[in-house]
Amino acid sequence: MTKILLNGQPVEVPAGGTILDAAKKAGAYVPTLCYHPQMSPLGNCRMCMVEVKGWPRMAPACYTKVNEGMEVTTTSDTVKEAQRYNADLHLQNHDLTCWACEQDGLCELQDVIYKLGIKEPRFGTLKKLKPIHKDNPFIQIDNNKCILCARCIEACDNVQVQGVLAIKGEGQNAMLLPKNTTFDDSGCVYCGHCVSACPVEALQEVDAVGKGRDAEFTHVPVVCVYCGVGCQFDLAVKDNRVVKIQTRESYAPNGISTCVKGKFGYGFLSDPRRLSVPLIKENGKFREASWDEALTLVASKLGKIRDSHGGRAIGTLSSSKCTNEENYVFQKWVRACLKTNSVDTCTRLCHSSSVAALRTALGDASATGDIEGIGNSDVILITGSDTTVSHPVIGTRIKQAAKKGTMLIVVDPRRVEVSESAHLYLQPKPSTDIAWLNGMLHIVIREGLVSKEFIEERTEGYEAVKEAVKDYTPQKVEEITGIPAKDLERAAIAYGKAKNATIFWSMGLSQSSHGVDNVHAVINLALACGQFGRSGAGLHPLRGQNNVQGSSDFGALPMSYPGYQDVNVKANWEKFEQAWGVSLDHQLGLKSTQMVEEMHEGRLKGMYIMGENPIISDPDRHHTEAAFKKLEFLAVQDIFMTETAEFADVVLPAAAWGEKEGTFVNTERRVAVTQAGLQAPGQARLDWKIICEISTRMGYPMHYRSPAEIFDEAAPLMPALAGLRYHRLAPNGILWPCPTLDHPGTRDLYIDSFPVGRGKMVPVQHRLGVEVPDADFPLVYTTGRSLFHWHTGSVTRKTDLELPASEPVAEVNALDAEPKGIADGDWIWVETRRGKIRCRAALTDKVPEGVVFVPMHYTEASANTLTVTYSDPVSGIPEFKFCAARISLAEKGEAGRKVWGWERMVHTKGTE
Amino acid sequence: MADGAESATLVALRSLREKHTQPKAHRVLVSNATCCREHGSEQVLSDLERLFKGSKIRIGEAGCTGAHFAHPTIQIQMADGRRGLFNGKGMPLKGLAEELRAGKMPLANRLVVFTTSGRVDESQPFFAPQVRTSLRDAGFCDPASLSDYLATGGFEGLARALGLGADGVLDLLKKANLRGRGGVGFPMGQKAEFTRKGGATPRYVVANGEEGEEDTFKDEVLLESNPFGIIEGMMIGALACGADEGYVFVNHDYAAAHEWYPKAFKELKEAGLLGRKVLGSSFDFKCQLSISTAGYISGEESALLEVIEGRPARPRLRPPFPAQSGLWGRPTLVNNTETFALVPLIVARGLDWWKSVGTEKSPGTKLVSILGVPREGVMEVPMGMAARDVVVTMGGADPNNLKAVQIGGPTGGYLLPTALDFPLDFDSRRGHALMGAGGMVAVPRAKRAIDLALEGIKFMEAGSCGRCTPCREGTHAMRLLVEGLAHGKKSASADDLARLARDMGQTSICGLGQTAGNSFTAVYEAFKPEIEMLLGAAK
Repeated sequence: MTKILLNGQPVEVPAGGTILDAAKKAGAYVPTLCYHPQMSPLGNCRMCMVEVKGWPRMAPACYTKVNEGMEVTTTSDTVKEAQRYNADLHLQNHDLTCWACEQDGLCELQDVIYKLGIKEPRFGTLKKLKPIHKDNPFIQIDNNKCILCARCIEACDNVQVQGVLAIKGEGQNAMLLPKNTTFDDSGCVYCGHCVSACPVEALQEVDAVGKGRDAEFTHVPVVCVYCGVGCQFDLAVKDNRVVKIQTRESYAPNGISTCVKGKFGYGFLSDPRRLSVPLIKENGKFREASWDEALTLVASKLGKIRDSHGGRAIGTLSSSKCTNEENYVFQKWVRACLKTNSVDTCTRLCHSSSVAALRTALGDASATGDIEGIGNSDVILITGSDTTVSHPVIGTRIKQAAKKGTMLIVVDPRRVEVSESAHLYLQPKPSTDIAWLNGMLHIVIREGLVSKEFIEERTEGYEAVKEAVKDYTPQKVEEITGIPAKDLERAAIAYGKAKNATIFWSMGLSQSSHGVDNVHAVINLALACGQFGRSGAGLHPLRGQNNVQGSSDFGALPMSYPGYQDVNVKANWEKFEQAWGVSLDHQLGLKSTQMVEEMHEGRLKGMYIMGENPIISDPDRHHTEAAFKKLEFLAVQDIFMTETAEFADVVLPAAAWGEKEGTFVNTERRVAVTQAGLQAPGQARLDWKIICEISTRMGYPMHYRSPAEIFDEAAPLMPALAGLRYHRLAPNGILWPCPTLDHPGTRDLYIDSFPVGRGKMVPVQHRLGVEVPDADFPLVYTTGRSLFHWHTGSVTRKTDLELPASEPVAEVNALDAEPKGIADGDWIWVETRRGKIRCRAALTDKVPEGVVFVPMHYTEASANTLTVTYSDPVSGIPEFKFCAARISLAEKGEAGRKVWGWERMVHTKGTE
Repeated sequence: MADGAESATLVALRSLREKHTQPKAHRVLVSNATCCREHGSEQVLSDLERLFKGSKIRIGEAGCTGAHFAHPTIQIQMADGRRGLFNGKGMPLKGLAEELRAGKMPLANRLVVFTTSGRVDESQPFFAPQVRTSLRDAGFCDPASLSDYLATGGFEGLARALGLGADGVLDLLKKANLRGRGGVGFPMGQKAEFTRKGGATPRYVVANGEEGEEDTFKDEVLLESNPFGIIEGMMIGALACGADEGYVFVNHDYAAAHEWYPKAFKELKEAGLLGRKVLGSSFDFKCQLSISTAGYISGEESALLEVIEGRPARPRLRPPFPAQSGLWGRPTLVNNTETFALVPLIVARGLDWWKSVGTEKSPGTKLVSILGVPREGVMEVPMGMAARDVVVTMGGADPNNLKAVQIGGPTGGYLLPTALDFPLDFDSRRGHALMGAGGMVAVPRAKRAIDLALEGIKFMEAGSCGRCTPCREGTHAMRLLVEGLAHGKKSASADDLARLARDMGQTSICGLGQTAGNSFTAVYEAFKPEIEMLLGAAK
C-alpha cells in the first residue's frame, strides 16, 4: 500500500494505484471524461488535473501513479479553474442540445457540467453542425456530440482488438470516423464496444435513435441469449419493447464487452411472428386452441403412448436455450412422469464428445478455468474453434492476451479470423486432428518437456500413450496433415515449455466420428505437460448455447440425473426416487441422434420438444424429416413456428428470454441469474409452467411458485452445486463447484486432484472421417457458423442481424471454383450424396483447396441437408465437419450487389 | 581502453579512406538542397552540366551553405586546392566556364574566397564570425558522397569511439556536457545513460530532423549538407547506449534529404560502415530514413515515435519517457540532428577543443537561423554570442527599422532593440525570450504586435494534433479571441487570455499545448503599452 496526503488527509491505495484511485477512495470528486475503469487511462480530456506539491505542472489524476508521501490537492482554486476551463473548452466543440439527445441523463459530459455548476459556457457551444456518419444498420457517429476523448478507439483497439476507428484530421478538423471509408471496409464486426464506451453517445445504436431517453426505460439485467460466454447486460425496455442493450462495467464476465449478436440481436422479441396462441393441427392445418384444450390433448396423447408402449416409446428434447429451472422441471417430468430417461438437448450435437472424454479422463465435463484467467496463459492453443465468430467476447480476451505477449497458436483447417492474431497458424487437412495432437505429444516427449512429476503423481496410462504416439514423428504428421514439420515442432515446444497453457476447442474437434478420441488426444497432451490446477492453465471446451452447460448440469441428458449422476447407478436412482417420490426407469435413455433412428424404426412414437429445432440442426435433413413424419404424436413448445414445429400436432407458445426469470450456466461454469422485464406476447406462457401443467394433468403434480423455488430444490441434489441457492447468485453469479453454503465458488478446477482420482491418459490413433472425398465428390464439406447468425437462424433471422447476412454464403477456395467457371458472388450448388443446396460463393483462401464451408443458419440452404448421419460411437455426435461434396455453378451473380466486409475476408497474410 | 582495438578500427578507417581518395581535378558544385531548389538550383546544375559536357571538370551537387540570401550557391574547387563560393543568382555561367577552363578563379558574384589553408576570407560578414563545425563542409561537398566525407576526416570520431568502447564514449559525452540542440538543452550523455539503463533490448536511436517550428530551418540545412555527420553521431550515440538500430526522422518537405539519405546508407553499407561488424569491430548498426507526416506536432519527441511506428502523430503520455519505453516499447535515444552531428567532432577533436568553444554551461556551437534581414540563412556560431551579432552584424538588419527580434519560435519571446545583448545559450532567459532551437526573426517597425500574436496562435491552432482538449480547443478559442482583438473588437481582456494560456500551459499533454498560449502572453509582455492601447480602443 502507498500512503499519500489527499487534501491534507491520509489515503492509502495499493502500490501502482493512481491519484484517481486515491481520490475515489477518499470520496473526493475529480471530474473525468476519457477515463473508463475497464480500460487503460488515456489522459486526453485533462478534466482530472490535480495539483501535486512540488510539481511544476498539474498532473492528470487518471494517469499519475501515486508515490509514498505525495501531497495532492483536488480542491484548490487552481484545480477548480483548470476544471472549469477544460469543461468550457469541451463545450466549445459540443452540440449542447441535451433535450434532443438519447444520452440525456447518462451523459458524462452533462454530469461534469452539472457538478461543476456551469451555467453559461464561456467559449460558446458548437453551432456549425457536421454531418452524421451513418453507413450500416447498427452504429452511427455524430461528430457534433463527439468530444474526441478516444475511449471508443481504446475500446476498439484494445478491448475488442479490432482497430476500426480513428480520429482523422488534426486539431479543429479532428473527427471520429472509421479508419477507412466505412465501418464495414474498416473491418468492423459491430460488437458495439465503441457505443458502450462512449460517454456522450456520439456513437449510437441506429435503432435507438428517437426511441427515448434513459429515464423512460426500465432496465432488465439479463444473461445473453446467444453463446456460452454468458455475457451480462441490461435490456433497456420501453412500452414492452427492447430499445437497446446497455452494458455495465461491473457485470461479469464481460464488463462492457458484447458481440454483434448480444448487442443488436434482440429484435426477435417483438417480432410479429412470435407464437401467441396454442395451436392444434387438424387435417394438416393448424387452428387456434385454448390452453386447456391443448394441454389436455398433449397429456392424453403422451399418457396413452406411455401407458400402452412404455416410456421408451417417447422421446423428448429439452433446450439449451432454456433456463436451468426449466431444464430441471423438464427432465424431472420426463423421468418421473413419462418414465423414461430419453431426454436430451442439442449438447448431443455440439460437445457430447468433449463431455464423454472429459468425464472419462478427468471427471467433470467443463472448462477447467475461468474467462478472466485467459490473461494468465503464456501459451494459448485454439483448435477447431472459430472463436471470434462463435464466442466473440472470449475471442476478444484471447486477442487481448496475444497482443500483450501470450503466444497464440491456432490450428484449424479454416483460416479462421482469430488466426490473424496468432503467432503461429497451422493448417491441418480436415479430420486429421489426432495425428497432429499425437505429433505434438511425440515432440514434447522427445524434447523432454513432459512434466514427469505430474505424470507420476496425478495420471495413469502414460506409458501406453507414449507408445501410441511413438510413430507420430513430425515428418509422418506432415504427410498426414500437411502441417510443416518445423511449424509443428515450434508449436509443440512452445506448448511444452509454457508455464501456463490453455487449449481452447469447439465443434471442430467434437463434431467428428472420432470426436471423443480427438478430445482424448487434447487431454493427453495437457496431462503429459501438467497443465492443470493453475489460472491460465487447462482445457476450455467452448460451450455453444448460452445454457448448454446448465442444461447438462441440470440433467437434460439421457445417461445422467442432475449433477452428472448416472441413471444406471443404484445409489443415484435411489437418491432421486426418494427426492421425487416416484420410481424411475433405470436404463440409459436415448440420445437425440438415436431418437431419430428409433422414429425410423417405428419404436419411438411420441415426441415432445421444448425450444429445439432438430429438422435444421440434425444431420441429413431429408433423413430427419422422414423420421418425424412417422411419429404418432409430436408436441413442440417454442417462441416461433420453427421448421420442426411445422411437423407438430400441437404447438405451444412459450415466453422468451427477457420475459422469464431463471439461471444460466456459462462456459466457465458461472451460474448467473437472468431477469424478466417484458410481457410475453398474447397467451404465451413460461416454459416451466407449461411443463408443470402437463405433468400435473398426467398424474404427477408439479407446482412451483418461482424459479427460485425450483433452483433451491435442484441445487442440493447436485454435489458440485450443493452450496448454491438462488438468493446467493446476485449480482454476478457463482462458479461451480460450490459444495457448501459458505463456499465462494471455484475459478480453477483440479488444483490438487481430479474427481476420477488420477487423470486418465487414453491412447488414440489417427483415422479419417467416414465419407472420404472421391472422384465424384472431390471436396470436403464442412459446416459452422457466421458471426451474424445463431444456430438454426430461427431467432437471429428475425432481427437486424439479418441485414448484413441475409444469404447463405459458401466459402470456396478459388482453386476449386475457377475451373468450374465459378466467380466470386456467383450462385452455386453445393452437393453431397444426400442432396444439394444453393449458396452464394465467396472465393477465399480462408478455406484451403479441396474444402467447402457452409454456415448452418439458413433454412433455404439448410447445411444439414448435406451432412452425414455417421456419428461417434461413444458420444453419438454426428460428423458435421466432414463429408464428400462437389460444387457447380447455379447462376451467375448479380452485378452491383452490396458485398459486406465479413464476406470479403480474404486472408493473404503469412502465418507469422 | 583497448589500444589494440583503437588502432584496429583506425587502421581499417585509413585503408577505407585510401580506397575513397579522389583524383585531383577541377570541380564545380551547385548547392542543390531543398531550399536551393526553390531558387532554381536544378536549372543552374543542368546548365552547367551542358556547358561542361565532355570536359574533365566535374560538375556535382552540394548541400546548402546556409547562406539563403545567395541561393543557389556555386562552389569552385581547383585542382590546386583553391576554392571559391559564388552567389548563383544571376551568375554568368558562360564566363565562369571560360575562366575555369583557363585555370582562373572567377571573380563575379564572389561570396567567399578560401585560402589554400581553407580559411575564410574575413571580409564576408555572414561567414566570418561563424565557427563552422557541424556545418564545416556544408555546401562545399557532395552530401551523399562518402568519399567527400572521408576526405575531411569523416568517421574519425566513430573509429576512435569504437576504441573507447561504450563506457568510454558515455563518459566522454557526459563530460562534454553536450546539451540537446532541439531547444531544451537536456544533456545528451545523461539521456544516453538513461536509455542504456532502460534495460530491454533492442534499443534504438532516433535523430529528430522534423523541425516543424515555424520560421526555423537550421536542421534542414544540416540534414541536407552533412548527412554522414548525423549518421556517424547516431552510431556513436548508439554505441554509448547499446542500441543497434537508428532512424533519421526527416520533415516530409525536405525532398533533397529524401533522395540523399538512401544513397548515403547504400554507400555506407558497401563500405562496411553500416551493418554487421562496423569497421571490423563487434558493433552492429542498421539505419534507415523515416519521413514525417505533415504537422508541427510530428517533431514532438514522443509523437515522432508514433509516426515511425506507422500511426498518426500524437504525443504519448509521460512517464514512461522514450529512454525507458520508446520505439515499439524499447529504450530509445531521441536527439536533435544537430546534437548528433556534433558528437563525432567531440570524439575526434577531444574535450579541450570542445570546451574551448562556447560558454562554460553551454559549450560548443549552435546553429541559428535568421529571417527578416538582408542576409537570411543558417549560421553556426559559438554559444554565448550576442543576438545582435547574428541579427545586425551577420544578418545585416537595419537597427533603425527593428521593432524586435522574435526568438525561440512562435511560442518563444521578443527581444526589443535595447535587449540585443542577449547571449545565445541554453540558460539565458528574458521573460519569454530564450534561445530554444535557435530560430530568430527580425520584426520590422511597421508590424502590429497583435498581428504577431495572431500569427503565432494561428500557427499553434493549425499545429495542434487535437489529442488533448486544452490544446485543441484552447488554441482555437484563443485564436478567435485574438482575431477579434486584431479586428478591433473587445473580444477578451488581457486577463482572460492570460488565464486561458495558463490553463493550456498547466494541463496540455505536450510542449506544443503547454507553450501555445505564449503566442499571446509573450507579445503582451514585450509590447504591453501597444496591446493595452488596442484593448482600450476596442469596442
